[in-house]
Amino acid sequence: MENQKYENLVDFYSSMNRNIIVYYKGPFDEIILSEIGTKIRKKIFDPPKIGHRLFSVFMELAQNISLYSAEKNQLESGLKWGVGTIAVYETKESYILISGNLVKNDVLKQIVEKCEEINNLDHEGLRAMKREYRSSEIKANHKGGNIGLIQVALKSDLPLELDIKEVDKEHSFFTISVNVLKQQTL
Amino acid sequence: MQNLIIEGSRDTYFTPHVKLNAETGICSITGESYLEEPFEFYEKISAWFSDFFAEGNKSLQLDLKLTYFNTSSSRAILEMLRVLKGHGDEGKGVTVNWHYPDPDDEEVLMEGEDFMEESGLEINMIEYEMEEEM
Repeated sequence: MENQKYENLVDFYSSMNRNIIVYYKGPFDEIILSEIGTKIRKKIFDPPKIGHRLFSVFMELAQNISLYSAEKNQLESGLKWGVGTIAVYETKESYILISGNLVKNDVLKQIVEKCEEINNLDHEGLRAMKREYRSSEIKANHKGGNIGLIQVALKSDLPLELDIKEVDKEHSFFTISVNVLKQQTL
Repeated sequence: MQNLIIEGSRDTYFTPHVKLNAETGICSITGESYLEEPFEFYEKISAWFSDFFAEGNKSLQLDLKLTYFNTSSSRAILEMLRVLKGHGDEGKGVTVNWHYPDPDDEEVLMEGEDFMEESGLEINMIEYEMEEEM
């Protein structure tokens, strides 16, 4: 994503000259997840399987932002929710879902390594990794972000694309891009 | 012993429809699972199973027909299946059916196979015709 400052909302809006299905920036509270998730699911996709995949990818990435973003927003209820951004758009060949949020630099390496490990596996390898993590992580004091990323990779047709921009000494903006092809090869 | 019925809903969270029948032992969990507290939700069901089997030599059939569940729910579902596996190992009658849609979405089937492998339970895979998209 371009690292420009947009003074003007119109410029910003015009700059996203893609076929946007959803764009959101803000706290990822449970209502936003449900609303945007339902919006994606209600859109007609052909075959419907693509819609299921996009919905599933959205839910996992949105939950990761909600739980793990280094940027938090305290709502009136007193609950804190992770802040981030998600865009879903359509190209000629595929649907792309991009999520971005601030991550502390000291956990960044761990996340990137996890994504690289995921990208080196084929479908069966991912299934095995998911089973292994799910069996060992049950009830551990962890909400399961690792399994979420494996699930995202299972629903995606191409490797996860990562982008990292250092924001300051402590934080980076971390982007994951997921590609679901319109022409399913399976 | 009481039946346990939880109405399914698709409000802020997605709650599956739960029907546990204490008289017949026929139980089902259908719909979608994205919950605020997935472990508490499925532990309540597991506790019901334990009470059910504590009443004597009874048999239970659980039909699972889940069209969507997030990864947090899937960990809690696995935990519940392991509880059932424990009852089965103690000689109780446990039948679990995993329903997956026909025709080309093999992903739900794969989830069922993964649950079978991880829980060690024998799970019957049953195909159903896809209904109209909601």
